[in-house]
Amino acid sequence: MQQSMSEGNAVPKRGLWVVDDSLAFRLIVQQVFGRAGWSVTEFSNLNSALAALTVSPAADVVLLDIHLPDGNGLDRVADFGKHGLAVVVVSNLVRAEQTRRAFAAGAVDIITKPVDVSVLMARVERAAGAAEG
Amino acid sequence: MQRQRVVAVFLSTVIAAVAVMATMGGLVLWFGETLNPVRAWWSLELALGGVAVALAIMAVLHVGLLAGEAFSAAAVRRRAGEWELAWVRGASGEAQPSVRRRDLVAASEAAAAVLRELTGEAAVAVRLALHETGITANDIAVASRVRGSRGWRRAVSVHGGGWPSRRATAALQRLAWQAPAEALPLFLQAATSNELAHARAALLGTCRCLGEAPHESDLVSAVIEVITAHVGMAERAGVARPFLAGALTNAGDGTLAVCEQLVASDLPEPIKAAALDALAIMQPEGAVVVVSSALLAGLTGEALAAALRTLAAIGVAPDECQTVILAATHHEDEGVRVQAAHALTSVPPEIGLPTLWRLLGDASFEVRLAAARAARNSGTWGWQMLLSAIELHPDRFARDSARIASWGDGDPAAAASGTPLSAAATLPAPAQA
Repeated sequence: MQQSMSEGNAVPKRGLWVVDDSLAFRLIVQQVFGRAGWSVTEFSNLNSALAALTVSPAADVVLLDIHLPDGNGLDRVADFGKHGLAVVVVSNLVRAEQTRRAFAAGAVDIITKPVDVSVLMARVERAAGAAEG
Repeated sequence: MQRQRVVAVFLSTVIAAVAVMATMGGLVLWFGETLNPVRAWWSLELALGGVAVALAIMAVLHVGLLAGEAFSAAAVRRRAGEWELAWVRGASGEAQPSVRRRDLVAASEAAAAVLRELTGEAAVAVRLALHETGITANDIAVASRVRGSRGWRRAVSVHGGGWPSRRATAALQRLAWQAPAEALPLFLQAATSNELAHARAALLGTCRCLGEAPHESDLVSAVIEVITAHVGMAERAGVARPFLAGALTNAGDGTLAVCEQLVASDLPEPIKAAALDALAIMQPEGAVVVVSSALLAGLTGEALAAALRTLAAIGVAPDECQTVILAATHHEDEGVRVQAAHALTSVPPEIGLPTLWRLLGDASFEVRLAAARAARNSGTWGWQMLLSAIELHPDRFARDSARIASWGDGDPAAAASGTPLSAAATLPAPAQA
C-alpha cells in the first residue's frame, strides 16, 4: 500500500483508492489525482485493499480493476460499498454481463481502459459527488 | 538468460560425466593392477568424491544462474517502474525524459505499458516523446529485421513474410501497444509474417493505430487489408477468432466501420464471427444495424451463431430480424439454436416466450438450458413462464431444465436444496420486463 503525502493543506483531502495490478495505471492515477488534491492510496491486489478496509479510514472513491492477481474485483464490489466507498470499476475489457454484475453489486460507474485522464477525472468527481449526495 | 541456462546445464552435465568416467576408468585400472581391498575401497571413495564435486559444481552453477536471473529481473522491474513514472510525468505536462542508448528497450517497454492504459492528449504527448527520443525509430529498425540471406530478405520484404528474431517480435509488440502512425507500413508488411506472434502484433498495432487516429476513415481500409492478408495465410482463419475479436476492440471509434466491412465481406466465417464478437463486446452505436443487416443478408454457421449472440448481448432486435431469429430456432446446428434462444430475450415477450417454451423441449440439453436461462432473463413474464414450465411443461426434460435455470448460475447449495418453488422464492426479484 502506498499513499501520496500532502503538506500544509487545511482542507480535508478527498480520498481515492486505486486497486489495480498495473503499475502504469496506478502511477497515472497517483499523478493525475495527486496533482488535483486527492489523497491517493494504491493497492496492487485485492486482498491488501480488503485488509486495509478494516484498518484505514475509508476513502471516498475506489477505482477497482476486475482482473486482479488474487481474485475478481466484481466479486468484492459490495465489500467496498459497505464501507461507504463509491466503487468505479475499471478494466481493459468490460463485457455486458460484467457491466450488469457490477451495477447489480452497487458500482456507480464502469470505465473502460485505456482512459483519457480528463474523462477519468470527471467521472471520479461525479462518483464522489454521488457518494456524498 | 534461458539460453545461458541451457548452456550451463549442458556444460555442467558434461563436466559431471567426464569426472565420473575418469574416476571409474581409474578404478578399473586400479583393480587391474591389484586386488588389494583397501586400495579398492579407497578408489571407490575417490570415484564417489569426484561425482560429489561434479554435482556440487552443477549446484553452484544453477544457484548462481538463478540468483543472476532474479537479480536481473528485479533490475528490469525497477528500471521499468522508473521509466513508467517518467512517461506518466511527461504525459502530465512535465519535461519529457532524455533516453540513453542502453535504456532504449526499457524505456520503450515502459511506454508500451503506459499507453496500454492511456489515451487522449496525454497519450499523444507520450507518442511524441517516443518519436523525438528516437525510441520509435529504433523499435521500427529492430522489428524490421528478419533472418535469412540478403536475397531472401529482399524476397520477404516484397511478400511481407519472413522469420523475425525474438527481439524483432518483441519490438513489434511494443510498437503495437504504442501505436505510432509511422509504424503502420511495418504493420502492413508484418501481417503476413511466418511467425504468428509477429503477425498478431502487426494486427493489434494496426487496430490500435486506427483507434488512436483522429480520422478513422483513412485507416479502415488499412485494417481490412491487414486482416485479409493475415487470415489469407493457410490455417490462420480457423484460429484467428479470439485474437482478432480482442484486437478489433482496440480500434476505438473505428471498430464499427471495420466490423461492418468484415461482416459484409467474403472472408471466412470465423473472421465474420470475430467481428461480430467485437461488436458484442464494444456495443458501439449502430451495432444493431450492422448485425441485423448481416442477418438479413444471410449468414451461416459460426457467423450466424455469433450474430445471434451479439443481438442477445446488445438486448435489442429490430422487428425485421425476428423472422431470422425464429427461423434459427429450427436450425440443424445445436450451437445456432442455443444462440437463437438467447437472442429471443431481445424480441417482444409475446413472440419470444412461446418459442422459448417450445425450445425447452428441444432434443439438445444445451438448447433446453439456454432456453430456460433466456426465460429467466426475460423479465417478469419470462420468470413466470419458467415457474410454469417447472410444473406444467409436458416434457420431463424441459421441466428439469427449467428447474436448473430457476436455481440460478453456480449455486450448488440452492441446487442441492429440495423443491424448485421454494428455491425460486429465495432468488432476488426478477428484472422488470
